[in-house]
Amino acid sequence: MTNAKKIVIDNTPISAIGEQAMHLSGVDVDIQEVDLTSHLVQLAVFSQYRDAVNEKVQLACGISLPNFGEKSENNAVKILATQPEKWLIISDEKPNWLSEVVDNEKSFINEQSSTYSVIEITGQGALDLLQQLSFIDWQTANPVVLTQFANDYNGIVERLENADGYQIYITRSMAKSFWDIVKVMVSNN
Amino acid sequence: MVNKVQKNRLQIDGGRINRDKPIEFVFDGKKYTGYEGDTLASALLANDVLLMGRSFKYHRPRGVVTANTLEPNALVEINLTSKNRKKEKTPNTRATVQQIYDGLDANSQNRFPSLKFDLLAINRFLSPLFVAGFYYKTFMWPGLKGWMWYEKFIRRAAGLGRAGELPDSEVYQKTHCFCDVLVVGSGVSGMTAALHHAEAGKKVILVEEKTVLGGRLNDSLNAKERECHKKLLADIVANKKVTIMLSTTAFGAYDDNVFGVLEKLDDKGGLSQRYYKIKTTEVVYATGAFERPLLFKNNDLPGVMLAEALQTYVTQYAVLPGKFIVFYTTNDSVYPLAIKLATEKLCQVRIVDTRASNAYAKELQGLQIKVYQNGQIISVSGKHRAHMAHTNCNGRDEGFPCDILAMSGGFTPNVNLQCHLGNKPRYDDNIDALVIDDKKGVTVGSAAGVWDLEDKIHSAKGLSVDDISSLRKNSFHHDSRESLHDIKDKAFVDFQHDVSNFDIQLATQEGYTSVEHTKRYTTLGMATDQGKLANFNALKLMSLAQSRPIGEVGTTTYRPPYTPVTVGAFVGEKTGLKVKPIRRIPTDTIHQEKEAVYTAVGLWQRPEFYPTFKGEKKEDAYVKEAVNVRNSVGLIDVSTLGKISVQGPDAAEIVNRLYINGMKKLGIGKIRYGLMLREDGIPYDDGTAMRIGDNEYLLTTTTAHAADVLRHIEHLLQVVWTDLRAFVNTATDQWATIAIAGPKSRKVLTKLFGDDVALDNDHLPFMTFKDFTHNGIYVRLARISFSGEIGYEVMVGANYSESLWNELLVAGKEENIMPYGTEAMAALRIEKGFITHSEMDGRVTLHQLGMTGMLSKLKSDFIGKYYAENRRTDISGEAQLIGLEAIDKTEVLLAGYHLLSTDSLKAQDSQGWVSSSTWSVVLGGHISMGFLTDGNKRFGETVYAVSPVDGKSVAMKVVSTQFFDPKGIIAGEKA
Repeated sequence: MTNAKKIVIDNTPISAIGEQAMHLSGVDVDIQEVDLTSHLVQLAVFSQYRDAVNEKVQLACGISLPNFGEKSENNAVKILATQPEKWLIISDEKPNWLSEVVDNEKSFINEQSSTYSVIEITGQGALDLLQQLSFIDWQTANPVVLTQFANDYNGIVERLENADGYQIYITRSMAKSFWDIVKVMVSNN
Repeated sequence: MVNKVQKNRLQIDGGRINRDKPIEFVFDGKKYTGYEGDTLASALLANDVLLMGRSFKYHRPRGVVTANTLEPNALVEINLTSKNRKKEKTPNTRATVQQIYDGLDANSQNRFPSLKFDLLAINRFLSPLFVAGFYYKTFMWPGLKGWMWYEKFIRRAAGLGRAGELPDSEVYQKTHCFCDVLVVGSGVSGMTAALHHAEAGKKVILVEEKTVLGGRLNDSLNAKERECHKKLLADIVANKKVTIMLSTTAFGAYDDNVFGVLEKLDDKGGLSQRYYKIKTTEVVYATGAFERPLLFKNNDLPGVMLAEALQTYVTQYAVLPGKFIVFYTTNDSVYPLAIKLATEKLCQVRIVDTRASNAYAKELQGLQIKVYQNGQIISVSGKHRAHMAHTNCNGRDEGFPCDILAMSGGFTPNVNLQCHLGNKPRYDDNIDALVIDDKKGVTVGSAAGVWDLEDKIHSAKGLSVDDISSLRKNSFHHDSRESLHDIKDKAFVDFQHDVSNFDIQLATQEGYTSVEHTKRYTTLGMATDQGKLANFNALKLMSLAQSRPIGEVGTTTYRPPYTPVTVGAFVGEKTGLKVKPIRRIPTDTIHQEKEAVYTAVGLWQRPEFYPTFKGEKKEDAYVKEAVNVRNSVGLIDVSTLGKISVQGPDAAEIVNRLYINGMKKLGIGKIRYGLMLREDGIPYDDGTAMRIGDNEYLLTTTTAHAADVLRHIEHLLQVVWTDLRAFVNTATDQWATIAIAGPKSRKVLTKLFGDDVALDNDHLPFMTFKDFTHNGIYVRLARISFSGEIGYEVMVGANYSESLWNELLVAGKEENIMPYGTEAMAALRIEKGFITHSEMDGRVTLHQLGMTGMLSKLKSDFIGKYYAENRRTDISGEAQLIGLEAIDKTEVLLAGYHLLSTDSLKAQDSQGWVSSSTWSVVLGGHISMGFLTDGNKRFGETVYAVSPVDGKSVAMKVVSTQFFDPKGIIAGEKA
């Protein structure tokens, strides 16, 4: 059977939020969705094998697995230690090198590129906004925190090193709802 | 017309007001002028308005007693019409803390028709009837019915302000703060403590409920105190380690050193109130002390106020609301103000002092102040405000003009906040007050019963609790004789609730000797000030009435909030659709555009049906959708089903233990339906297990229990099966799942994936799946059916789901593909006899569900095994899952109807219930699943599905739950 036009799924990822970046000058906060095309893969390693797997990770991508709550990054890859035995690996290119690392016995991967929407909040008001969202002291918190926000949203918060802000990895199905809450919070400031 | 003459405004410096900025406001429809910085109370007093409210029960005329948040009388409604918020109002606002602003429109409350002429003031004359316990004694007759009849009238008469008719449009914000030391109160002790800790390098938050720092220092007439104030202010403002929060009240202390704190904002930026949760390592309570009222006849008349309140109005607002000022005191604290008023010849001053002497004899020399030592005020008289005071001094009665009576019955340390965490105050007879022996936090200054300036400063510099206790002295030479409370006339103890000394005596006579019982019987301390002004006098009266020391009487329990907090502040932005998170399916935008009607399934929003024209009814739309699935092909986004990845060397063992049926030997690429039990053997959840690899499974759960099942597995791994190694992860958000069902489903999918994978029954048989890549996208195609038709579930990364959906519609156009919603999905599954949580409701056993056949006999263990196997197998007399067919096919019924054996709406023993119900497109009538007593033995019998609420009784034939394709030939393409 021949089709006049080949039916094929478009491989361009689509945002769960569907709204443009916002800047609120009154509180000096920029909010935008980022990393829509990034690859996110969760690496899970049983703790007794961490050193061995870490060596492989270093060899394969040039950086090591950070301690829980920390992150490491180079130009190609960023690794967030989100849970004691779990890391989120983020890169623009598909991390095919993980096939050299995992053996499905001691370490495993889980594709998570569609799991999260990543909302970046920057500007001088970013800390205040985050402080409204959750009961964590963000001034002293680790660079990577898995948390439940005040309105019962779960997410991972990554502190940005070179910018005055944070990236929030929020589960995709709740991302639009979370975005709306953030908008209300920001507009109330 | 605006009254611009502020009759009682003094031409002296008024600390807080800005005379360059006059402000017009309205009270009870009349316009007045005040100044920026005035509270509503100070501005009204300046305008010689002393009558500001009516009491709760007797509607007695009332004026301000305080100048702070404790105010029990001057409660007003703030109308927000001037801010374009018609009919919106804030009731029960304390005039003593409400700042005036241009256009402020306030009304008195609890009166009809006007404040001056209140018809319900007739209650005053009935007051001998309205004693404590009046309602309990009177409205019991004739039993419960009598109370129900009276209740509506009582409720109409009860209450203070009226709530607005519109939703609250004030903007509230919630946020969180952290510090090393939280200092509550910014008087001399608070500021000293804040500086002490800041200088030690600690991060300090200093909260002050007033608009300025300083507490009582702001009102001080003492040069040394004023100098101290000045220095502390300069130091604290310069100290970067101290965060100062003004107009902010710490209203609650909670476990783990968390404090509820409310900041009131000026509303100019749109934000009205900000609610902080502050977590601190240490806390210092510098909460000050309350001055106590005194008891005498008509001690509630407008013009009778606390002496410290009068001092605030004079020094802070330059308001002196009278010409004949009488101080009535048990201590020395009132003398500096009396001396100032007399020295500056602002009014005529008298002092009635209960003691034989005072400490100001020297300063009083040459002043026009008459002091009545050993004196007692017997009564004050007047209609809507005080005019005369009557005293007894050394046995001699005397009356004299009095338009303001400023009273001071000593001071009560403010320990309410400390008590939220379980501290209990105790009576200290040295200072005749309740004090606290801190177990959590440190109480300093006058809150600790320390009155002298130097001692207060000393107490705030890190002293131990014992050292602070040693600083307590009767510095004001307070007269603590109980006889001062032993008066013949009726006097008010709790102003707002009209609780008098007589009520407390009556409560004792009637056996309510416990302080908690007296509180509830008389409503003492249950008004908006929570008894802060009343409680100590009440304890003294109880002590007198019961002839036991005040220390034995005890105190009531202090609970948050310390002052009333608007509910909106707790709610914050959690209103309307923002109350809880909304989970949206990956293809949500498409269904929104198609104007699907949504239904909530837990947090998820799912399309329930798709009207083909505006106003199409659900029952028409879903039947059309279900018919299309049976005849052709339909598609639905089922991404809401929970997806849990289990990875690890022990994944097979874990999955095997989770379900009642065997999962260990499930082949890679295969799918199996599974049922989980709770530990007690009751069915918990069902779904499928996909074997992805030797060490990996993907489990699906119901939408409703996805999170619970994940938590259940995590618990088992971390607590119960610690020897098993596996990781579990939710994959629900990662994978969008589109189900495509119907006889034409394979044809449609072949158009899309024909180049990628073989879909025929040999290559992709029922209950198997294939993984492949399509245009660079990872796809998992599972042959599975929830409708009884040939069916598939297509899984792709959620970011690509919209494109998948749209391409499926293109591919199925010739086959008349249609989306179907949850209602059609339910219809199809009921026809097939598949259960959901409507049947698996946590109350029925496997036996009742007829699913014991799934129990694996080979497995050594699984969750719930013992109870499942050892529950009573004979279920005679119990409800059993059955199918039901409406005999009259036009009849409609709903889940929840009772099953009865006779056709009657009259009360009778229920024989079961309908759990699910739908219109069957196969049978052309309503069908149901339900539970019927001995149902498995009653096939063919007629029963009645009855709802007295709907007034319906529907005759139903008892049948098998398998209405459609009972052998599964269609979905499995069996020969």
